[in-house]
Amino acid sequence: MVEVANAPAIRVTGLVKNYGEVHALAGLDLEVRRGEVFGLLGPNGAGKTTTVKVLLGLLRADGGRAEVLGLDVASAATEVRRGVGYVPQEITSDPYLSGRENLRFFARLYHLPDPRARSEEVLRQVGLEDAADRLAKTYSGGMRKRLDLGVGLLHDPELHILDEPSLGLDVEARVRVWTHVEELRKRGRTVLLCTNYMDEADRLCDRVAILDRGRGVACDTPSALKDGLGGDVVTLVASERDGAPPPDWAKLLGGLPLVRSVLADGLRATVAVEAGDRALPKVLEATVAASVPIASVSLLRPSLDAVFLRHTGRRLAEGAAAPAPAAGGRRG
Amino acid sequence: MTAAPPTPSVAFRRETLAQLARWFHHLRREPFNVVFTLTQPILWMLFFSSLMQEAKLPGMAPGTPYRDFMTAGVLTFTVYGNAMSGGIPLLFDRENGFLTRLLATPIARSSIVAGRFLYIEAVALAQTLLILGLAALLGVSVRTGVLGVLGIVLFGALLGLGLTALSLALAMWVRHHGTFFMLLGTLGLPLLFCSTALAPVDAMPTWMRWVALANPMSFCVDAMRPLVLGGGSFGRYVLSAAGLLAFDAVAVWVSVRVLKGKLA
Repeated sequence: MVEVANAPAIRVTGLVKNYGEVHALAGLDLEVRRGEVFGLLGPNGAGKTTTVKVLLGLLRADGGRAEVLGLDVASAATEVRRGVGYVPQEITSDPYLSGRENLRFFARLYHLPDPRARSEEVLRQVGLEDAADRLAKTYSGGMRKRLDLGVGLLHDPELHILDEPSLGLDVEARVRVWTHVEELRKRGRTVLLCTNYMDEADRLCDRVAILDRGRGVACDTPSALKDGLGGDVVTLVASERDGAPPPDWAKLLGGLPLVRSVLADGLRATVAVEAGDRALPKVLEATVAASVPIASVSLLRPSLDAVFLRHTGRRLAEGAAAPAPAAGGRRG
Repeated sequence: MTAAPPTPSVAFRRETLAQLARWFHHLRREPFNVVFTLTQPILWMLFFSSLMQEAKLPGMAPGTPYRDFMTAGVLTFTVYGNAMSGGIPLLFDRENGFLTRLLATPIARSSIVAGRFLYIEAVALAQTLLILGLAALLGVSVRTGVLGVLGIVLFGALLGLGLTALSLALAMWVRHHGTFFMLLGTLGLPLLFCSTALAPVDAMPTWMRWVALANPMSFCVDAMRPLVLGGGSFGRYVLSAAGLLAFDAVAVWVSVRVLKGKLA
């Protein structure tokens, strides 16, 4: 059996998995396109890890169908595993092997032509050359996670499944994981990223599916999901000029594309817009063209947390709060 | 990057050897684990045999020193301890997620069991030879010579096969390692006492005699003892081998059923 080149990386239809009375997956539908970073966002118990285990053939679904790289997981699990690099939630490197031995061990299990050479390449890729001969049990949490990420890279698979890769990591290690995902994207690999960190999904993912109680409740780009809540808000405050009246904000901004409404309050204007990242330059251009001096400007965007709240009626678990890196922009 | 997959038999061999190598790495890093499994048999050999030195039990050939009589029992108990604890690392692999990581690779599931099994058998062989060496230092020699030593290794391997299979299945079956250790601790001594390892069946009360006769450890002891002391018959060896093979068949059948479900 060979993988189907033009099939989506993952296609899941009506997936059901029950643990006794608990419905871990209750008819999940999902499609991940090739080359995208796709986020599965949801609180603990939403069904993310169960989905991953079904996709890898480690759990048998009670209903529905799962295809990975065009292969039916139920009948071709071994072929599926050959094309997937999996990084589990837990740190799983063997503590009694060195970093190098861990990689060589897995390289042999993937039947790579030159396990030694490939292990050295991956050691360099994940920045563990200097610690290669130390036992994994002496590594820090971040180093062990890098080693796990390295195991997922060994056979250079088409699809990478990362299950909560930054869970429990400090800020520095977390940024490294993010860089790792960005590099996979640059190399055209497909990534399925399970996370319950809002900022992680927002920053890294091309599209996000929000999971709740084993069901997908929303799926789109982070931007579109947030726009769906009613758009962003640009707040402008003009500088005070002696004797000059406040700007006529409604006339100035009301007709601009992407602007939904303008609420004027003297020097302050509260402007509801669609797609704030695209609307903001147009709003600023218009004010500059009208020679309105601006004292301050801010863009307020709804978070994915708000999206989750809208679709589920609940907030993501408090435990999902993560250490925030000091630097780094946001996507979408 | 993945090379064209090799034929299933080549793949199985490579995967098994990779996992066997992993266990030897562990042995190199944590040699005391293996040494520890040797402690109990050695203590029995040193203390219990000294205590029973003058014992004349019904069924023991006249003039046989108890230490010589007990050697086969200690060898069997060593095989038991090593084989039954064989599933422990797999149990920890399961609990810390390493097994899931392993199962997410495209390997034959049977290679996980085969790698572990070969390792346990290799360690059991080394331990058997060590115990025989210790016995020799204490003045016990294998009267049937090199062939006898080979026979002892063979019967030990036959008992080890079934016990290892059960241990691996138990490691997959129990919910928590505490249960595994509790079962291991609870079963060890009763199985030892209800076997011919420490005393002949003639010295046992009737109920114990029946348990001992059905105990696979007795099949092993009853074959090893004449190999140590001499005076065995071909029929005795065939009977023991048949009993052990039957035990292995049942144990492997049970184990395969459990492992198939757990190593999906």
